[in-house]
Amino acid sequence: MNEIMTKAWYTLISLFVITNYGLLLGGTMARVRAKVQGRIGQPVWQPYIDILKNNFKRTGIYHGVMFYLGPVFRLAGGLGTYLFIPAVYGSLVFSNFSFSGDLLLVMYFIFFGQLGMALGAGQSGHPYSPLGVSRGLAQMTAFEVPFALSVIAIAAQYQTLSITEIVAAQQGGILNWVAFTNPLAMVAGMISFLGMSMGNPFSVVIAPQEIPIGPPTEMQSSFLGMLQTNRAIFNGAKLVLFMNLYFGGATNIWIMVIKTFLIYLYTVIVDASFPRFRTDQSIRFFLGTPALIGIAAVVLQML
Amino acid sequence: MVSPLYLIAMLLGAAFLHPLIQNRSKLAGQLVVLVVLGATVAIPLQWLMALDIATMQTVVFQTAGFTAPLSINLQVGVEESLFLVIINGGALFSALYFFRRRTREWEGSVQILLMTLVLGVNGLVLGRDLFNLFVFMEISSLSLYALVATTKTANSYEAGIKLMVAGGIASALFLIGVVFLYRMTGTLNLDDMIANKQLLDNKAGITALFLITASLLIELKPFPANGWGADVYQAADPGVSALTSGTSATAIFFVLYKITPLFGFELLQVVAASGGITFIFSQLLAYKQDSVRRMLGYSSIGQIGLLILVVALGSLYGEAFTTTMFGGIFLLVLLLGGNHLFSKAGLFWMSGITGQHSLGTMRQSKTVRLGPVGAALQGILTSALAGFPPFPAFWAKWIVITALLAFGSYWWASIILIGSLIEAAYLFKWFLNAVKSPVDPGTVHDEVIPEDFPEEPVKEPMAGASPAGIVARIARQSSGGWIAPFMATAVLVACGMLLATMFILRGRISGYRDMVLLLPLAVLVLWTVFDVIRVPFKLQIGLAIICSAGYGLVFLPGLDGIRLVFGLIFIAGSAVQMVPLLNRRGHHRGLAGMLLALVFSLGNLLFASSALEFFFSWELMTITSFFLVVRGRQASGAALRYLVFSLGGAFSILAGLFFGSSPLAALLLGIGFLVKMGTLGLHIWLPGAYAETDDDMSTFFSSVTSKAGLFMLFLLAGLFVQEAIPAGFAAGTRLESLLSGIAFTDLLGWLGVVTAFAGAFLALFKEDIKYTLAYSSMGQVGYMLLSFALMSQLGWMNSLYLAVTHLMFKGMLFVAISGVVYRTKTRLMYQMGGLITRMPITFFTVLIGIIAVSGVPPLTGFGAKWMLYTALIEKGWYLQAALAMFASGIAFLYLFRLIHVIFLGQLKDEHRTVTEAPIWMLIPQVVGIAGIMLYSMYPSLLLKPLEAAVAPFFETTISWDGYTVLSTLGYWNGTAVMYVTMGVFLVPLLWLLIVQRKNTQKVGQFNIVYAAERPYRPETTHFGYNFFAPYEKALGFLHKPLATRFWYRVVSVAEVAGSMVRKLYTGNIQTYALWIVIYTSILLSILQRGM
Repeated sequence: MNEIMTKAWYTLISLFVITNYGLLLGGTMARVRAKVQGRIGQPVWQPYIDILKNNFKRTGIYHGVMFYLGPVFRLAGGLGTYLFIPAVYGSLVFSNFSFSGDLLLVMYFIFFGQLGMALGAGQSGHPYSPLGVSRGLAQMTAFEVPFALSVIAIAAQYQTLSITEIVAAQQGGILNWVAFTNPLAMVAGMISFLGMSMGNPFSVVIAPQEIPIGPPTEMQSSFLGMLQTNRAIFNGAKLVLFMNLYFGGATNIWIMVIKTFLIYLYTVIVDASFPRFRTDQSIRFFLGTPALIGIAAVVLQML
Repeated sequence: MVSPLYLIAMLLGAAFLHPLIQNRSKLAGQLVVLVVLGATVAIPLQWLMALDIATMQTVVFQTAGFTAPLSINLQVGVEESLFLVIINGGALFSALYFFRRRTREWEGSVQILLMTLVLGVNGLVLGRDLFNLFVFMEISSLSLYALVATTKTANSYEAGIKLMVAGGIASALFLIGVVFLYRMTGTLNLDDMIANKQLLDNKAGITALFLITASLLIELKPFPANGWGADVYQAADPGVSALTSGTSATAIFFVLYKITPLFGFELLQVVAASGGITFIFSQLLAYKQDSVRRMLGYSSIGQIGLLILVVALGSLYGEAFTTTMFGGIFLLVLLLGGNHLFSKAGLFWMSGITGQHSLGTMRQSKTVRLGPVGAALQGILTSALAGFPPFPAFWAKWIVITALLAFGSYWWASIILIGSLIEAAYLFKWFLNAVKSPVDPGTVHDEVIPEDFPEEPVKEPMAGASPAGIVARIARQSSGGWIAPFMATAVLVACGMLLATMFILRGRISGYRDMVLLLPLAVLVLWTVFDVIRVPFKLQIGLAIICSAGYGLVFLPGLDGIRLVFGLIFIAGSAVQMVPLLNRRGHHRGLAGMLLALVFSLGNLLFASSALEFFFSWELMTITSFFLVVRGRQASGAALRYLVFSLGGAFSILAGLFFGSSPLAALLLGIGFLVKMGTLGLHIWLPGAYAETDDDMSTFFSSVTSKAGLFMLFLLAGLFVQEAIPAGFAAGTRLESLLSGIAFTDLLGWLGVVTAFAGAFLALFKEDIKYTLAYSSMGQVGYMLLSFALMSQLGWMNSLYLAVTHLMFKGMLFVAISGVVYRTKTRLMYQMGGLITRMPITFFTVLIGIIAVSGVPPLTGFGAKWMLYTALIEKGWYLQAALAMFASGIAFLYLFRLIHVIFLGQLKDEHRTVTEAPIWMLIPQVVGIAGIMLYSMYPSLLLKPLEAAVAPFFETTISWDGYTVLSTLGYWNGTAVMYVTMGVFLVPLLWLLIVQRKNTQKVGQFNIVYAAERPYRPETTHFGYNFFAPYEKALGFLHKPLATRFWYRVVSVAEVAGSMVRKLYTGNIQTYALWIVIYTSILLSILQRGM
């Protein structure tokens, strides 16, 4: 019983850290983007304000049970994804529930939230929701290809699928990172990360500047608040995953913050610099050069 | 024993006296014919009882008080008696057909002609004197010319004359041959000639024998000198055609059989070539025919060609035939001949009764839809002719192929198999044409998307005729005559059952377990009786469920390991999936019996202990499942494709069974099994067959029968680990080093993953929900194949794990969807939408189903993904793993589309009153959900038994730590994942419930605004059609139907060959006569070159 209580505390601490970090990171990056565009931008704590505002709205509507559960699925997906990843190498507090499964579990659990959210949005009856879902899923299958190849190359390199062991193998200096021992895998993985982050040039799936499309279209009040919370956690989870896979993981929380910040900054820089692909163009893009780089990484492991 | 002279005297006497009796009373005349023909069957039966069958005893009857050389002798033996029973039996049924048809022509003189014909053929069978054989041949031929002409149409007169000219040339050749033989041997008696065979062992002797042989061959209408024969079949009344094809040709064939002991090696080869060429080309010609009767005619010619081929090969490779079967070559000839006689005559009669002339698939108006009895008769007759079990031709085919392959005669074996396949294709095309529903265009292989406006309802067939006229026409066409095909069917079924008992049991009945292989046949008989006495359909299905359960309880406990896993899939899976059928109303004749027979045949694959037993069950499975697919509303096109592919696969298996464990065996068997599984390239039958069959039946094909191929792969796994390229291929070249070391499993692995990808990809663009699920099944089977090909513990565990879970989730999905289609009356997804509120339980099933299929944790599907990728990476199959991941991503797309477009989005106005699916459809869904949830919560419940099942075959690479399964690469604790998921799900849910406890309002789906518009109608607001348009744009080029195009080419090659050959037939008597002469000359020159 004591053990379970301890684990519960650790989990809460871990979630608390990642949630706040994710929110602050989101606020910071919004400011970075604004600077690039010559604006002042929002305050760093704007995400907190948004979430609180949405949760305390006086009214709210829903379209049915699945609609109601959609954000729950989404947040559960974000939380679960994070909890199945060991966030800080060697830390008991941040090892989360990574004993439940390996890298494959994390890769597939990402779908859990997306599926639930898409279903919830579907019940709204709003045609733009599934439109965004259709584009998003189509793009997802495409960027999963270089990512999968990259993961396979790493698994082949270290003969393990356990994230903890992959991080362990990268300890002992910057040159032991996958980014240097297996650069092709890193390149393929980091290109697909751009797709995963849905920034430019792969942003058409949420079309942020024009009419909103995608799951959040009909979401409001605490439903939307929940989605925003998830965005912070899920983003954090993905950053931690990529840090673990390619950049040696983190041995303490500060290293984690620095590394993930830089990884995120990379996507923001790309986002700010490029125009946008149509969905079919981005599908072709991911199945082209990035996939070939991934195949090259895998083939190198086979030789 | 009754003297055979009585037989001849009786027929002759009756023929002479008939006019007198006929003048007094027509009925009496008919009775006389029936009694006399009945006696011609009874007398040989009496002989059979008197003769010693084991030693093939023969008794020779002398005539006119002298012994053989001076007078003629008649021989009565087991062979003669058996042939006379079937030949005269056919004639008796013909008489019944004529009398019941009650048309004016079939009176008086025609009855006399029938009796003289029978007289002639009896003499042909019994006679041992060459000149006498000539006389009997003339008697029967003359009767036949006259009979053909009695149809009294211009065509039939012309056909009669053609027949006479051809027969005249044949007779002349025969007579010349007899003269020469008499000159050389000094005798006309066959037995003396055989005794002095050495006298004929020179050029002149062989030439003389050749003339006789050529004459007989011409009588049997060899290709290409047989245009006149086809004209006869087309022009004559079907009753006469039945006599021509059955009675007359079989008797002449028997003469050929009788004189084969005289033949030397060269002559036998010429005869074999003539038979083989006739067989294969006649089938090609028949395939191209539009006229039913001409098609049947070519089929007859082809079958007789096969008989000739078999007799010649039997004499050539005597040893092989006698060692591989009992009864020698005779049994084979009897089985093939008898099977052909009754089935072909039956089909001719059917064509006469229903008045079917044209086959044109597109011309609906020309077809007359058969009722249930007619369909059953034609189905059985067609199956018999195509050589499905348990009918005699099946066993004959088995013996022939076994013997030929044992002797290394691969060419002849492949010619026989290819010809049989073509024959099955056109025969079943006709069958389907006769039974398909009026709304079935016969060409549905893919989803049909209607235009924006509703189509005009399809009118009844035979447009332009008044309903009263149609009724009158059908009544006229089907006036009587049914008794004849019915009798033929009964004989075939009885013989089939008897043979099955003989071949399968082989005298050993040590307990009820030996009978298990015969259960499907018993089921078919019993449930047919149920249909006849009109047992309600629900009761029939209920009994079928109980019987399946009983079968499982009695037979499955004897199994263990992999067999048990598949046993549970086949039997328990089927029993549960029969429940939705209880929802049906009214009578569905044949459905329950066929289904149960299918289930039992599948189950029997587990118990087959020899190649024959396995092949028997496999073919039974094919034919019963075919008859189930046929029942779909627009399934005829798909059913034909299914049959042709299944049969082709079965033939490949049949051939493969005889190559031991060589690479060739692996290739042939592998192709057969892969056809059943529908892997890429061999899959083109699959979507249509799964989708177009009845909605509540699709689930069987997808979730149960597709596993049969997988089971056989497991059973014969040892074959596939060998190298695919035989040693020594391209030795010394670069190619050798490149190709060596590639095992079949490597190829199977790639095939599996490509199939998984193609299945998912093709499912993505389908609007028709059943096609989506069909392609999805194809993809899932691809994963099973890939896992199997890994040949590792984890790989095999995963393959079995997928087989079990796929049964649950795909069964659930298909049943759930059949409920949706049942309620909404449409299969097109975009026409549905918003059904979640109307059908919540079904929605929940589909939700669980798609999560399980897609492999999203925490449900069972993830276990399969985890094992698959772990095993693939362990094995070093990295690229396959990547492609599999891509495929599973695409699967996620179509699964989301499936649930979204049907259940979410806008509810259509016409579906606002739709209710939840009927209870019978919900039961299997609930069972499936329970199973999936159980195995998701505690994966070890399934994994540990599978681990045990696979344990004997591989070193163990996984270990257990509590609920965590550890591989060499990673780990997975399904139970922990479940708990974490529940935890992270409940916390936000509680939060939401607290925050939203007030001031939250539920609004309708139409209460939305988009882009400053309000929605107009559900149809214009629901986003469902062409859901993944960007994908189509990006990768659409990948789903060009390359495989379909390839197979179309194959068919068109066959058709072009058929058309080219057809140009030989000008319809002109002189040309035909010339052909006969040229044909004989060519054969002779070939023969002389041989000498």
